[in-house]
Amino acid sequence: MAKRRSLPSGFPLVKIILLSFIIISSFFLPSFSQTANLVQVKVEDKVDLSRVIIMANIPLEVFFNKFGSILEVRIKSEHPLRFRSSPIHSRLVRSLGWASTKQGNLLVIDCSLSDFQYESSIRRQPFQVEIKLKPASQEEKIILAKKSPDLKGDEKILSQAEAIGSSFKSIDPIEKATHKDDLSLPAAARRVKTIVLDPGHGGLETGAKGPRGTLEKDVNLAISLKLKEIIERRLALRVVLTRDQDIDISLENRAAVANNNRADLFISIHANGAFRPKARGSETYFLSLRASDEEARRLAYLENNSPEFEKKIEEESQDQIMMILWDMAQSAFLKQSSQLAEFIQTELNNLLETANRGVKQAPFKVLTGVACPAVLVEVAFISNPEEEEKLRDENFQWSVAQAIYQGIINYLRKLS
Amino acid sequence: MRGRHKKSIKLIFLLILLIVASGLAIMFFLSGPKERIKVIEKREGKIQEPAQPERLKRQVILYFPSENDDWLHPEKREIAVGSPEIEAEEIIQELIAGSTQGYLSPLPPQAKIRQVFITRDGTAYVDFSRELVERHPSGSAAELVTIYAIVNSLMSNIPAIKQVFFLVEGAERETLSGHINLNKPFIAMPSLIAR
Ligand SMILES: [Zn+2]
Repeated sequence: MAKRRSLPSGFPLVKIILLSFIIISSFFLPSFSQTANLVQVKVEDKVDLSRVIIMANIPLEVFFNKFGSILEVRIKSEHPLRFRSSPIHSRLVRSLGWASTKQGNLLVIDCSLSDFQYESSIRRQPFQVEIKLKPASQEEKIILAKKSPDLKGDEKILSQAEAIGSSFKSIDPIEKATHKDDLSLPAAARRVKTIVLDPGHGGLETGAKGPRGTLEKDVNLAISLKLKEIIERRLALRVVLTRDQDIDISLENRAAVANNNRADLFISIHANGAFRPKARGSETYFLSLRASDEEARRLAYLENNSPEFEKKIEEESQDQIMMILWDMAQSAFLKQSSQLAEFIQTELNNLLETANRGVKQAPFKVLTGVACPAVLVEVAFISNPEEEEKLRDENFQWSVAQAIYQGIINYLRKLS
Repeated sequence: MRGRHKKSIKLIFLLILLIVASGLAIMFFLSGPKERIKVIEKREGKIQEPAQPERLKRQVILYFPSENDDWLHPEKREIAVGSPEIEAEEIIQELIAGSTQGYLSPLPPQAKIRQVFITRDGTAYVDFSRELVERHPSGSAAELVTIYAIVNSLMSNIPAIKQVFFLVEGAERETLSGHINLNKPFIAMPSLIAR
């Protein structure tokens, strides 16, 4: 009883100590965050190239993604970042945009050319990223040379102090970049409203394991989250993930997520595992219903007349879907699924520069119940030490996500 | 005197009876076993007697994955001749035991074959111990190799098998290790075999 009574009298003292601590620390906090987490960006024009320089007083991780005239620079940092930029007077760089999201920070470099090449180099101490931008084709180079260069902007390189002080016209890159690819799509593609992405495995079910211990489930999720981000920014589409964290979900439930969300496309993302450590490359699968179809397709592929076989996959009419049992739902979409697989595989081949392992057919459980075009992507072999390293690399994960995205776009463009 | 005579006649009669009986018994025991073997042979066809020193063997071709490519490679083996079920079990045991020519193992070495049962329509139910799935490295490519090393090895050697259905610990399973559907039977894929 006595102890209880003494508690309230002790409270004010605790409050005072806490309050004073907050007041004292608040003196230090603003100045600390202002200096420690500032990112400055400046743009310089040279004779045949433009240079974007990113400076920071803490080391950052940067990843690049190129979409047509836009170069995205993803900047990862453990602390929140603030952004400053000098005014832009460049022939090649039209504008800069900055956004901070939960996933990280994004610098969007919007170029005046539809196509350009970039090269990047990183210097530490002090931390600096230099990005060289050049016109991709010879023709565009000539066009660029004919433009009267604004040499004032070229020579006027602001000092660091000036850069901090200069007013930065904030552009919302999400707003600016959003749904740009929609414009290039045919009317038929607009019927595609929802894409379901399925990061394979999760929870206790880890999938394949790399020699260094990398788990397939983690790689699958990392790539799927990146792909979701890219699709949502570039297209006016809804993206649903069957899981967005490390949890167990049954294969039937994954198909159910697709069907309940009225998915128009379903893409299951996996990393491959083989007995032989040297196996490498990407594979894209669609479902085989009968083992004999699988064999026929494989033989056709071996004999190099796969287009012939492609024609043999008959498209069943839409009203037949009602007659098909739930666990056979995919059978009505095999033709479209094989086309989607083909487009994605082409992009992945370019990315990994491996011999074409080809579009394959196999009885994947997760695909059987999906009532829309559905494919399963085996990005690379996690069982191969070299490819395991790649799969762990966030830059590679972004590239894979971008390649799959490009495959989806190419598929949508061909819809009629 | 007459009484003695009578006794000796009885004795001689008994002796003759004994000799005849033992003779019959010897004849029975000598011919008996032959008869029984014949009966067994009629009932069970070509089954081998376990005591017989020379077991009848035949050559089969097993398929193993290789370190250097994605194909399945043939390897010759001798197995004891038996019923399709017994031969199927032996083929799978040989696959588990592994290659003698340096190919890779298509199954976890801890896996055991519990039983093979072949139905009249030619579906071979191959029942594995839990280690087949628990010790499997997982991954689509690895799962396909396991399945088709087994299916191709069984179907190319045992004509009675028209399709193969996988069981684990006597029960159906959704997938081998998270990818390939095991709720349906498989047929051989000769296109996977190295040429
Ligand atoms: Zn997987």
